[in-house]
Amino acid sequence: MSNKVNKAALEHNHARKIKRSLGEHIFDKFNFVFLGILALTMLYPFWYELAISLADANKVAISKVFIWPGAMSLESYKNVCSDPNIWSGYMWTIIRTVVGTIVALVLGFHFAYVLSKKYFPNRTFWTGILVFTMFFSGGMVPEYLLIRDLGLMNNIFALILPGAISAYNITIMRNFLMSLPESLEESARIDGANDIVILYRIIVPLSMPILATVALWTAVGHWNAWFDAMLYIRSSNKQVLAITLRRIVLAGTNASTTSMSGEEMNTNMTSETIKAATIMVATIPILCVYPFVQKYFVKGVMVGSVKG
Amino acid sequence: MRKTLSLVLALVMLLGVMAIPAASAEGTDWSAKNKLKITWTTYFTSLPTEDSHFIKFVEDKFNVDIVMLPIDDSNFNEVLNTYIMGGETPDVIRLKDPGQFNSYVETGELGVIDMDVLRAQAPSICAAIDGFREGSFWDYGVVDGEQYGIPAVAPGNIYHLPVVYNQTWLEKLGAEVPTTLDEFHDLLVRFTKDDPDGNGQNDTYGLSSDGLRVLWGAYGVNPGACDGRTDHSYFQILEGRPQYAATSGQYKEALKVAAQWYKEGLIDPEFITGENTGGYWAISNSIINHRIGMTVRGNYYHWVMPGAYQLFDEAGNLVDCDAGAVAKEFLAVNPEEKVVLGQPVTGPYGMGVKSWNLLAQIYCFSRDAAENPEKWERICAIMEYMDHQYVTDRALYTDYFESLYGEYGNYWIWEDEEACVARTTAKFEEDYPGFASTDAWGPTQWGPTLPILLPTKGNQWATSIGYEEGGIVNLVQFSLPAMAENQNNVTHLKDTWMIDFITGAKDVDADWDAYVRELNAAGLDKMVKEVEDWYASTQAE
Repeated sequence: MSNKVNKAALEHNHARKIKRSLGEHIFDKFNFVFLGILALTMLYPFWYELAISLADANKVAISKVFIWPGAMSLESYKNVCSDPNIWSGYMWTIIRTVVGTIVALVLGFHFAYVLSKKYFPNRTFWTGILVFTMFFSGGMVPEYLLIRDLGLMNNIFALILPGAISAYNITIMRNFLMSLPESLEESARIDGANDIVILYRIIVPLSMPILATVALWTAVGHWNAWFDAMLYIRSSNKQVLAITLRRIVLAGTNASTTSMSGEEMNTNMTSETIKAATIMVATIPILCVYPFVQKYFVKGVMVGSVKG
Repeated sequence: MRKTLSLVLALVMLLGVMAIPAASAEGTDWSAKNKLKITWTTYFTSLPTEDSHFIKFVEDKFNVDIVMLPIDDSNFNEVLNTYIMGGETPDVIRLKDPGQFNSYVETGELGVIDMDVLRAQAPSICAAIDGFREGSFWDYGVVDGEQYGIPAVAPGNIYHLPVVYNQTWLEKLGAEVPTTLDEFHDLLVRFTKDDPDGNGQNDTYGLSSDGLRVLWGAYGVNPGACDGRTDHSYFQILEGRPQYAATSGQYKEALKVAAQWYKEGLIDPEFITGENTGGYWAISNSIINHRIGMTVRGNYYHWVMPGAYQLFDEAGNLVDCDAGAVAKEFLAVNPEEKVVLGQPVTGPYGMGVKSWNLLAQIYCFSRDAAENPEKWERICAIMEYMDHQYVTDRALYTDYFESLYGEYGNYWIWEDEEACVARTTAKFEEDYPGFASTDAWGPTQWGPTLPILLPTKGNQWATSIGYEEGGIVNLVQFSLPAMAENQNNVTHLKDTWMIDFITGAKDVDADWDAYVRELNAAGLDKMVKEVEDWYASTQAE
């Protein structure tokens, strides 16, 4: 009996699939094409830079490279990687990214958790204090003076501490935590859990998606940041990767930055391939992080947490 | 006894005082003096790292502690202001935009230079600036009669922009490089109509946005290309007074010709978006891809064909030069073809084509650096030493290069011993990887670039083809305040109208007044007034 019902239900579903209107079909096709093109417009620039970076500048006309360079050469990668500051730059960038992300997540998540509790005294006031910093900042000069007077010049913490509390990320996390049902906390409490257990055994595992998201934002931000490093880091062997790469890229294109008033420097066309190789060296490592974090973006947030 | 001692002491002091004028910068033993800390800013991109060979060498030789302050070009004023507000005004500042110079003087952050010390410690720098355009460039560093800055002059910019023709097309058509505007016009017609690329299709044009510079030059003006990127505000003395080039009567006349040429189909309709479609800035994709037959883009050295001149190789033999950066790209796409560099053509107002500005930067100094005699002396001596790359005294130059790069023969060689031009060897690049990107440009950015043209074989060649003559030079070599404020809007409008005038969307005679009115409303009148005042004040001196 139940088999029959199931079969009928299946057939019914099948019939419904077939009965999709022409309009729906066209819409789907259009969606495929549109999203395909959209994906291509994002992929192609990356692919193009990869092709340029692999081109042999002595044999290939760089302005004619579109999909694949005819003659290939790893010369530009060799050139970029031979810079003595590249490897120490990698080290400091990785340190800053890892430590900076952990610090931002630990501080931010606890801040957000407290603010998400309705029974937290003066919650609106504290939220206001946090949000205030989103709209009003001290500005570059006071921040520079602060860092200097704290004795953080030429110290990796000058790059980590100023961004440790991000009002925007905390607001996002707070909103996520507020969306978790209060019944979770209540049921845990009935089972005898205290506040600490509730936070680390119940809330944190449920918050993985938002933690992953914020971690990715913070990590990418740290990876790409260069301006603070230029201001605060004075020794070249403590400098982050972005600065070293920026220097390599700009050294090749100096002419365009000085052409307004200054002399045209006699630069070489190979700088286009070096520039591209630099972009690759800088982006590929952080790109590799995405696949590991992506599952958290896709996963449903609340699947199976409370049985009704 | 005491009397004798004091007499001896007095005599020693007297001798010492007498010896000062005789002691050259070279002879001073800096190690006997106080060790000084000097903060220095240079190009961010070519900043020598603090542990570099070169900085260490300077620190030892001059008994100083050099702190390199990086300032990125894109946030130059913002970062410099941060350092200044933080009480760390750099001792030596390379001001990227000479137009900012006055405002820094006004804030009281810069010190007045002691010219006597500068002349004593840095005689070759002073001699070079004295000898260039009758020493007039010193004035760029003067505010209210006091010398606050040293002008850095880009000597390579004495060469005007290259007038490049596709030589293979010329040969195919049996044509010569034109010398008059009429011949130029005839050639453009043939480039357009006679199928110079031989593909059987009518798909070629005479010129595009950059090539129009030849026409403007024949009318004596440089209104700039219409791509809004390479030219801002060109002022020239026309009819005896300073005028904005793109609202002058001569430009109006030239525009009519341009509109006529457009009607004849000689101008590539894509001139609106410019000749460079991406990549290295000096490339003209239009000429490389056979859309047009001539262009005026980049510098002469970008377009040098292989073997145009000869230079010395590492073994000291004369060999053919390599292709210039853009010529290389041209040859990669068109291996069988050649380009040739011509002169601008003669038109109703003579001949000419744009030159880049000669004033590159201004070097200025913190009050502490300029007012502390010990520090100022040391800075002058270091700058003088840096500029030994310009010296043509072989002994001095050898000393300089050995200190900088190491052993002669192994790490560096003479490219042209007579002219004192040297270069590093392949072994040097091997042993000091990365030096090229961090150190090599360092020295040239330490002190002011001097108006001495290095007599390299390339420069000698450019002089031999007459590229020192016929450049149209900007009257104002830096941005005055109203110019800095308004020129983006004005340039944008100027470009838009230029396109409309050439394509015929607007009529040159009928709409000219509206054009001038619109530019004035966007701030051109303020810019002109300011330039007139500035010009009157410099003439008064």
